[in-house]
Amino acid sequence: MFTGKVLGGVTAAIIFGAIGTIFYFLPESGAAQLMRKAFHLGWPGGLVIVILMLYFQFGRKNDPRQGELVFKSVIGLLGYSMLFIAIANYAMNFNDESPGVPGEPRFLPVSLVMFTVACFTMAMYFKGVRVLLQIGGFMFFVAACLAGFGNWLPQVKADPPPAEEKTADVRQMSVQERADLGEKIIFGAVGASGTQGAIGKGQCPLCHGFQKGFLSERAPNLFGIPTRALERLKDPRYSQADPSKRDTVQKEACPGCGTAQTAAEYIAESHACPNCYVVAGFGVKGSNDRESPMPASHKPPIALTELRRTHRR
Amino acid sequence: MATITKQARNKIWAFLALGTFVGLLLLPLFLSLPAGAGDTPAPAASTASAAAAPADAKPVEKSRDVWYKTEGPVVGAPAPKTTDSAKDYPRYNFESRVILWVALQQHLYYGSFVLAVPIFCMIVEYLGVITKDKALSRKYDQLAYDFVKISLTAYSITALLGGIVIFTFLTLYPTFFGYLSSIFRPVMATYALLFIAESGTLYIYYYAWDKMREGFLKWIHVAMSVILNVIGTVLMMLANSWIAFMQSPAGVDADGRYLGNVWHVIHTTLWNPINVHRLLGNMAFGGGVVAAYAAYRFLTAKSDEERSHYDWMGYVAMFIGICFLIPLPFAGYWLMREVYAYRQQMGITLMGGLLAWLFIIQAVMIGALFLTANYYLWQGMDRMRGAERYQKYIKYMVFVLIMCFIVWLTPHTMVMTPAELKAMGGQQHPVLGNYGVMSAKNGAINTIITTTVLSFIIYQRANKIPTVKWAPYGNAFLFGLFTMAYVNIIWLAIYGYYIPANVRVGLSVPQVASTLSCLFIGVILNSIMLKGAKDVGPIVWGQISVRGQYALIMLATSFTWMMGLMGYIRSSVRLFWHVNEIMRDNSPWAFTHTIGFGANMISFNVLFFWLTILFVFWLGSLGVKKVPATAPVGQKVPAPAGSH
Repeated sequence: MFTGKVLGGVTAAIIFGAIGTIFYFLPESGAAQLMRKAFHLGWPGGLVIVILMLYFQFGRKNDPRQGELVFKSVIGLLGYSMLFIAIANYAMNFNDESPGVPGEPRFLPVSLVMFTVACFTMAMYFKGVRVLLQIGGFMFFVAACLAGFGNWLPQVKADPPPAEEKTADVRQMSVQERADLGEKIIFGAVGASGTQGAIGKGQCPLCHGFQKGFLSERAPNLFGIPTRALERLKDPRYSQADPSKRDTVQKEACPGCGTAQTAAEYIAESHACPNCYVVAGFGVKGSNDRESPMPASHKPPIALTELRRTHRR
Repeated sequence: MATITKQARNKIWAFLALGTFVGLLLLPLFLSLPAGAGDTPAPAASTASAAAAPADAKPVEKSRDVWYKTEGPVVGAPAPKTTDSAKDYPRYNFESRVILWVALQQHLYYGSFVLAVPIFCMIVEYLGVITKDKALSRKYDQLAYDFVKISLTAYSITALLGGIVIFTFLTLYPTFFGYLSSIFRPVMATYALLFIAESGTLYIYYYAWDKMREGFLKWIHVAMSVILNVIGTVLMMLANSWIAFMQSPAGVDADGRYLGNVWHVIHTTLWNPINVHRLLGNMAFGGGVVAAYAAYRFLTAKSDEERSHYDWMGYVAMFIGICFLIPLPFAGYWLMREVYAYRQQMGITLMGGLLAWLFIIQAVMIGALFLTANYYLWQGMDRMRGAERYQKYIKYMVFVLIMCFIVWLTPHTMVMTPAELKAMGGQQHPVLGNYGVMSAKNGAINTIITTTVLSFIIYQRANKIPTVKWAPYGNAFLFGLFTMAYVNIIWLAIYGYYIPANVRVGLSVPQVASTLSCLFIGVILNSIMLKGAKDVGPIVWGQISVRGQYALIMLATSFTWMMGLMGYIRSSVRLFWHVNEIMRDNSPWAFTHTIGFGANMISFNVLFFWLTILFVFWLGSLGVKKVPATAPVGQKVPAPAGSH
């Protein structure tokens, strides 16, 4: 009933109509800006196609293929327009994700969809390069799906920690200020402790859960640690009276340091010497809980400065 | 004096050429020997030297290797502490890292391709030499020649891109590149020499093809392909040592000072896992690209002969690619295991932290790859009469694959806002969360691979009926093998829910053993059973649906995308370090991009690569010899898959 030509013609008419409508009614909209940018980038090629179309229409009146050639010019112009709108989308929305830079990279897969549509549309009418266009269109389609999926997922941008952080003397800080600093070291920002995935220079939440009920398979959940620390001290494996009797790869945080006597000291010791006491079931595989997988917080890869660790004690 | 025949002269030249290649291959190793001697201290630190030194000479400073923990003499400067300045990070109004990303990725794509294709070429040429059927032998030979021809143009582009990468490094990251080259100076020199050896070997290999077509010279030619691939593989391993050093440095002290042992900086803890993973990945990728080339030629073919040839070529390339895809997850597992052993934080950042969502994308892609490979095999059954006997089983396999695919891509935990967390009642979804755990995923991926093996076995016997006397026992054994494998895999997946995580990790071993048993025992037994089997009908090469060819293109595009993705993940895990924990990245682009940005960049790289490789294909097609019309359409043409 409908030939390919009719369908193509109707599609082209609808698209050109939509473009005209956007320019007329929404001249300042994002779509209109995109098309203006596309025109700015691709007008010479478009002009060549229009000239060709006019030539086919008026210069080859006796050619039996005149109608087909004019029609193909229209389809070519349509494909070319989509191509440049897609490129304009890249030009306008690509950025390096620095704060304040204009553009929204999440729109970029739309360009891939437009490339796909342009390729398949043109493949319908340009038989000489049909296979190449179809293969290209298919590849664009696969890439569009994958890029679209990547952009649909939750987006997290991770900034590096400051190279040299200047912190006031913790001994002069109030309790609240110390707590805020601790939250910043552990979770990256004050107030971030309730957000899952929030992580700071200390990297603790990589393995430890901090809220009640948070999954914590790799290392003990630290919710309620001030209370539980006292229980740990009483554990025979902790060997509070004599560190040399500990069945661990490291007996003391430093020679002669002894063992913790308070909950705060226990937490401090755990940071400086994770091997001194390993909670049952959380040791390095095969070590029979004699060795902890946690690195000492003052050494790489965590490498907290003395000031930060002082604060944490 | 006896006159030397032309053939004997050729042989002498061939031996001389071979000797030269071997010499070229070994030369760099000899050159690097004094610098790399295992754990032996460098001469400067030796006792003898110290004793001979004048009393007022400055004592040699020693320091401790960050990884090997051995003492060594400090012979290098500390890693530079860069600042966000034009001196350390010159810029051109664009993110320098993105420019480098594109250059490196393109170089890697082409590098992988030109390393993989000669390996294909070697395998196919060897098959041609050992095949007794003359027509088939010529067909293999032509195929190998076509392969190397494509890679020749790609080789030039690889070299060009390598130059671009060096210039990009020098102009955008001069301080970092200076530091890296100060440590890897002997390695880089060796690399350059090997590159020359590789180029020479490749060109001689290609241009001597016709001259060395017959007899003993052909064997020399095949031997040359072995040498070519040895050089190529060593080249890849040397390049890998640079990225492995950046990720898990060794051979330097905590300040980044080189301690004089070049073997330590090469042989970092992640070097070998990366080598194995990359080699397998390159092969799978190369298979994908060649299969896409064959699909392109198939779809544009003008005659049945051409269609027949390129259908066969696509099948062979796909077959080789899939052979290397199957062990790839296991190599990946080893790599991740080593990453965890090196730095648990790094492993968690990858699999459970910042980059975990990228692994969800990877999971989707692996699932899609296996689905596509199965789809291609099922489409390929159209070529064979008798295959209709097995069509009724396909729907069940589709069901199994889809179910496993869904489990495989279910995330474990998700990054959520507190409100979302509260609404869901915890980190894991009450129902779907049960499928996001490793126990279920291990079961799912092993079932997917086992089902793919089953598809292949069905494909192998699609047009055959085994005639060996023990066929009923063989069939019963195969049935039992697959049944036991499925039961074992699924049972262990369920059992994993009831035991602690550290014990559960060990369950992957028997699961993988089941999968590999099906792969090796199943395929080998099936091939033996099909020797002398009764043909129900011939394989009519060329009679595959267009959809089958698009499956090949899908495979190729997915391989390319996945390579880009995995490379991005591996590189991103260093976070804000040029060299992990040794040299910090203080450029404005030290942050880690969002997943979306990464996905956009990967897509750009993939499409850019395919645009340029299409140009290479076009160049390759300009001088393609006429396809040998030795195998009329419909004639049986065995392929290296046992029966096909």
